[in-house]
Amino acid sequence: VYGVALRRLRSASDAEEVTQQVFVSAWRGRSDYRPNAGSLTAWLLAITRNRVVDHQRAWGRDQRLASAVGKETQLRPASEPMTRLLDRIVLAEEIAQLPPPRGTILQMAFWDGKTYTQIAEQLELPLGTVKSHARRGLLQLRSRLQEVTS
Amino acid sequence: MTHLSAEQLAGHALRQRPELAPGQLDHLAQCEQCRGELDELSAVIRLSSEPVPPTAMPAGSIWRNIRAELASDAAPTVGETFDAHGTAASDNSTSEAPPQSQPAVERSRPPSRARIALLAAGVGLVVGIGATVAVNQARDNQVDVVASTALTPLPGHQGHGTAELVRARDGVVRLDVSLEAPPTPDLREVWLINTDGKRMYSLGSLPPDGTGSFPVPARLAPNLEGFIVVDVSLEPYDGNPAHSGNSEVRGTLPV
Repeated sequence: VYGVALRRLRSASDAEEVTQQVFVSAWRGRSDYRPNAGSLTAWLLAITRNRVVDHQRAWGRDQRLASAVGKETQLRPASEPMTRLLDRIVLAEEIAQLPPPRGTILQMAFWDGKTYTQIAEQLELPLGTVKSHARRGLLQLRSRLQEVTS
Repeated sequence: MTHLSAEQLAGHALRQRPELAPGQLDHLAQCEQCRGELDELSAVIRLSSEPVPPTAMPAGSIWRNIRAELASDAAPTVGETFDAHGTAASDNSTSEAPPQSQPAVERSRPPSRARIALLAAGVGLVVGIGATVAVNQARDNQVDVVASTALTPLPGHQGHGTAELVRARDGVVRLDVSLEAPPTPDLREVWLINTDGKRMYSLGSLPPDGTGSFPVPARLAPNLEGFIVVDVSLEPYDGNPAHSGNSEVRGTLPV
């Protein structure tokens, strides 16, 4: 949560403020958490996204006020698109949580760039098993991501 | 021609071997729906292949601030839930007990001893919980951070954390440790090591969730007499009380 906020806001004190807000509102709204709809990480990151956006809006307002009274306007902090960052974190967690051997197969295919044949040899599994785990795992990840973003 | 199946598209997105027949490739070239689905799957692969940015750690005081903010928004009185929205289903166990017991008092026949005992137990439970919350609040609101340090990994180890030397209003000095580190089959033990590198005190074992609060030996407080190096070691479950020599993270308190 803090890492995401820090990357977006580029200020340790702002990121800490947002982190505090996220956990406070998560605790207060804990009855809204539905475990079936996604992981706890995904839920916390969704709250983080909202809080960061709120924070940036407030920041933009301050900047407009500042320029209205003649102060120099600073550039907005630049950073990569938030959704992309959150998706990456959620996906990494989903892969790590997949039961073996599916998680391992996806890690080897995605991160190590291994071929089905190499994975099958290394894990001593039939080629067809590796192939079907890779496909189904990929479909599983996509539907998980759709749940999180919807 | 019919659309391609999700499995076919996933196989094609993984691009490991020719998965589709020439006719299916033709379909893919013409069909927007199948191509859209393929793009989604390719995006998942692309995102999954990118490294996750390293996590950063906020100051260790953040948990105290969060607890303090939550403690101040609901002054919990006996029988009330801790939640500002009044939606705390998880607290039902505490609030349900009294209403079930109370009708026993109102009945015309004299309450049996067993009922009185039950009622008393219920009230005791609620008061007990209320008192615990109050004590926790008091503790949260009344500590001073004397010194704090980041805990950084030693070569060959991972993990990051913070250690804070805090003093409560009653004068008790504790070390609050918070560590994020990979799971281990070993036991984590928290030490205060002297700057001479020879003498040390074990403060106790760190719970698996990585957070613990340890009373500091009374005669070391408040300036720790040189025992300012906070060390978390990995100890095998061998019953040997000596430091294993395998330190995971360390930090030095600026006192």
